Amino acid sequence: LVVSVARVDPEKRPFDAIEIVRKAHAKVPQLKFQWIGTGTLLEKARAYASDHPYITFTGFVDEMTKWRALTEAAAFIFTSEREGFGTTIAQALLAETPVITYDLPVHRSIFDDTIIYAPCFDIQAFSEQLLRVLLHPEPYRDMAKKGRNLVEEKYSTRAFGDRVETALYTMISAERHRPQYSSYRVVK
Amino acid sequence: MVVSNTYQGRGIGRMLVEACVNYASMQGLSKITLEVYRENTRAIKLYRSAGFKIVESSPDTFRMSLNLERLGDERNLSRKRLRLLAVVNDPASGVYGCTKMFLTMCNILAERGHLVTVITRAGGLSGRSMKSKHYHEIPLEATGRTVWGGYIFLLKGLLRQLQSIQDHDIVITAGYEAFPSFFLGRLSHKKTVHLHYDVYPLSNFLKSRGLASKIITFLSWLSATLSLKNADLVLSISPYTSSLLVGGGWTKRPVVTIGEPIET
Repeated sequence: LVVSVARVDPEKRPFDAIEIVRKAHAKVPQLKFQWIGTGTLLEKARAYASDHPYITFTGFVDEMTKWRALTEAAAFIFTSEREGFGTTIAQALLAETPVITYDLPVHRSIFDDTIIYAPCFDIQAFSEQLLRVLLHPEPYRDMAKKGRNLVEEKYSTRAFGDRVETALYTMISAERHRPQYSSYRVVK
Repeated sequence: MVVSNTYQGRGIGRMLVEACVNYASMQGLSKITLEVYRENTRAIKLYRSAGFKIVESSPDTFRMSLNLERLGDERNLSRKRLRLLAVVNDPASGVYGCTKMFLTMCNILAERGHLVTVITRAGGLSGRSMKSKHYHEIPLEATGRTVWGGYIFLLKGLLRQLQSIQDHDIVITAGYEAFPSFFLGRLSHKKTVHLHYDVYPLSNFLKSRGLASKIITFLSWLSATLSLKNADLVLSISPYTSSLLVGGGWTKRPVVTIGEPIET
């Protein structure tokens, strides 16, 4: 099972995902693909994929169903062309599922070498990366485990809360110690 | 660390030390070590007052060290309860992206005992997908999805902000609708924090269709830009976004990368 979790919107490039999976399916016929999420292109994507019964656009599902799919998946693919953070990548890593994305700088800045990159919008290269993960999963599972540690260490709600709190306290404390410039004498 | 003779005695050294300590804490470091000449008694006094202790000495110098983990515990004991007012001006208040992250951040801070008030769309994200809501919510009725509906919603939000602002110390805004709330925060002499999720104003502008939509996109971009330039603190979603904000000259204010909270 290969999974993607994202809105079915143009910037997430769902049709790239269909093509990537279609190419990989030619080599691994037992492959199944689920795109979880809803969006403006949902019906169009369903129609486009209707010739390929191994591809499902599930629409919106509850958190439990999403988590189950992430844990069962052999790979998580993410074809988005722009991203603020990439929450679902982090969720896939928590499930220790190897992640393949386009090589966007934002992904590198957050997930570093714990996910697998394909050159931006190169469907052929992405599909080859997916095949590598499906056919030789071991090293990629280790990568995902490393990713899980990274997410737990840096992006858990506790770590996040600590960072925000510290930033707010620092802002307040910086103000307390800010010198009163107006009281200074200008020395020429 | 050195302060020019002309500027000594004005608290600059203390500010530098505090900035170092805060930066190191935020990076998750556990200890800071420094070396200082024995005769530099003023500096030694400053470091001692910041909590540094002498751990080693040589004929010329002292080595001093500060345990940041212990300092963190002490700070937690004496920490002040923050009073935050968050304004979500987006009438759509979607389930995804910036709004979700913004409200989750508010919830985490409220769960930690801070007073957090959120002005947001009634029945929006917080009503549907937040498991347990710890912050206090001021709900605003939606005013339709037209451009004018959006403006009316914005004005309603600002009016509610004016009513609540005196009970809070910090105004947090987010996204491209931030500036009016930010501006009211500034007028009321509150600290202002801007949460920035992404930096795609140009592509949003190009993608928008029709003159009205282009004007809205432009105003949104202007709104975010003004907030970014003037906020007391900018919180950014990823190291990449931070580097764009700082490197691209979007802001000269302190930028802290906070990432996104993931339920583990």
